[in-house]
Amino acid sequence: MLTGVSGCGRSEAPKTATASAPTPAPAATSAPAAAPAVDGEAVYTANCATCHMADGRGVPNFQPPIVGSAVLAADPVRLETVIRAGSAALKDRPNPMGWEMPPFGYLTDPEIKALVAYVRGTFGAGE
Amino acid sequence: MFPKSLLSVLLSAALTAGPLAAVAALTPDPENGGISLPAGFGAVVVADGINGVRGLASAPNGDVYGRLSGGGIVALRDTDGDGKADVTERFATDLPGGSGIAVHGGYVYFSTANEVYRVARAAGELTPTGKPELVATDLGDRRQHNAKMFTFDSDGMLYVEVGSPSNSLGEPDRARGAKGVSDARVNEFLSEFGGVWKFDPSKAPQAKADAEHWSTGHRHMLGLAWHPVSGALFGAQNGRDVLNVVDPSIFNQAYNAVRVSEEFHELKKGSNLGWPYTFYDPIDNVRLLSPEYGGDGQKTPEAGRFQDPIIGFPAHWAPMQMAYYGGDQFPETYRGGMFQAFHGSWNRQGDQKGYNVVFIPFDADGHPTGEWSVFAEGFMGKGQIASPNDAAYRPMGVAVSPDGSVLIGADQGGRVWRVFYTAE
Repeated sequence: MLTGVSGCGRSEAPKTATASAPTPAPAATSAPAAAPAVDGEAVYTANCATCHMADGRGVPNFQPPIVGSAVLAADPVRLETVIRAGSAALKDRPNPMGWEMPPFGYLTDPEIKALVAYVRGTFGAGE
Repeated sequence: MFPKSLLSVLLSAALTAGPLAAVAALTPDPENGGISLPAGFGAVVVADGINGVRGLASAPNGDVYGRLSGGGIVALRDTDGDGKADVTERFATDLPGGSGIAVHGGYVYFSTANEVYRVARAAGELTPTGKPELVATDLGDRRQHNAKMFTFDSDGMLYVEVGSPSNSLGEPDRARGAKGVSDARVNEFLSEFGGVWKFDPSKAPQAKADAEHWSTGHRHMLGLAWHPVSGALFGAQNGRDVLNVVDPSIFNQAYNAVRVSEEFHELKKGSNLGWPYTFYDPIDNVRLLSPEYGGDGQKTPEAGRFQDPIIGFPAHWAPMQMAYYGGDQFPETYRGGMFQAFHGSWNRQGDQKGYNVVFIPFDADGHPTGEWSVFAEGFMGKGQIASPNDAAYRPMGVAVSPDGSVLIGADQGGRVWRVFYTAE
């Protein structure tokens, strides 16, 4: 998983990632016996916040809010489906936007589980 | 030499209705209604509570029209000369909403996502009493980028921009690893989207298929204005988004935030702006291939295939309505130039930019000098915002009043300002 490299504080104009970005650090370090915990917020920030914004409220007429969304209120499997396959996978409702959220199938299972937990915990009604 | 009665009529008209008298009667609102302007300028709030006010237009008698995204047109009239609307009416509310609007040749022209209509307006009417009639039809609506902005040339021909319902014509669009489509499919797509079509209102109603295909290779241009001195059409485009989502191995977040300009072009017959194949980097001033079409941050298209912009505005600022300044109220440096509203970004993660109105100077021959400057700002309402939702106002409409004042409208925030020169 690549995290974005902030341009803040750099004196030169940002170049492409291969030209100047340092290698991103791994998501977590861990004791050898345990699997590393995936930071759901980090996954959200790196993959989702660009469009849905850090506060999950989306962008009017562009990206719908996650806060208060029907997908969020439904079974977590529905949310997982949207993340993996994009909004086109939701064939049982008309898309109000007229275009689709792309698929994020490149995320690993642990990343998706952590992301679902983060999104439901942070933007869900039960928060 | 003049008959006494004619002289007194002329004097009376000059004193009560002349542009100088009108502006002299205006007092700027406290803090100019929440925006900052260059020295010597002030603003009054014409109206508030007009959420979704998109394109603006002014009639010869000073009436202001605002196209509403939610449906209809708002009509504003200042009857006591303080700059603020005293009468507010709405019409055409039974038709779908839209963005484009103009007062031209005795009509109010306005667009939906698929048509341009016009309604006859007799001099002095606030709500036109004519019935809406179709002028341009079958423009194409697939929801995405469907706002249809338009402008007229000096012969009364109507130029309508049809945006591309896509980010970068990749599959899946905006996905990591999105791939471009074949040249044949690009051409098929661009045969109906992503360009300007020139209509002849005397042939109304005219379908897009029967109009003249003027320019191509557009993503979505909402800024569109004719310069009467050079006889040329100018446009400002919303450039592609999410480079770093599509190929993070090459384009990082910082790169995406600044290296995809909002391109400002002269649109000639046959102009090809290079979308979807390319984007324009305003820092290195180079047109680059998009990752969907083989781009790697270095590869450029075949030389001369696509035109370069005259100005590369900062990434993701989101240009909206553009207006030619033909007035003489503002100082000499502004005359003959263009004002360009910027909605403000969403795709500059965590630190959004734009949310202003820019001035683009043109020379005496009607050609852009290549410079530009921020004219009105402060619309964000704060020093820094992480999301468009946090902005107080997002400028969309800009128009010039017959007295040379500049009108600015914000669809988010629902406010219309009148900016005038106080010379103080």
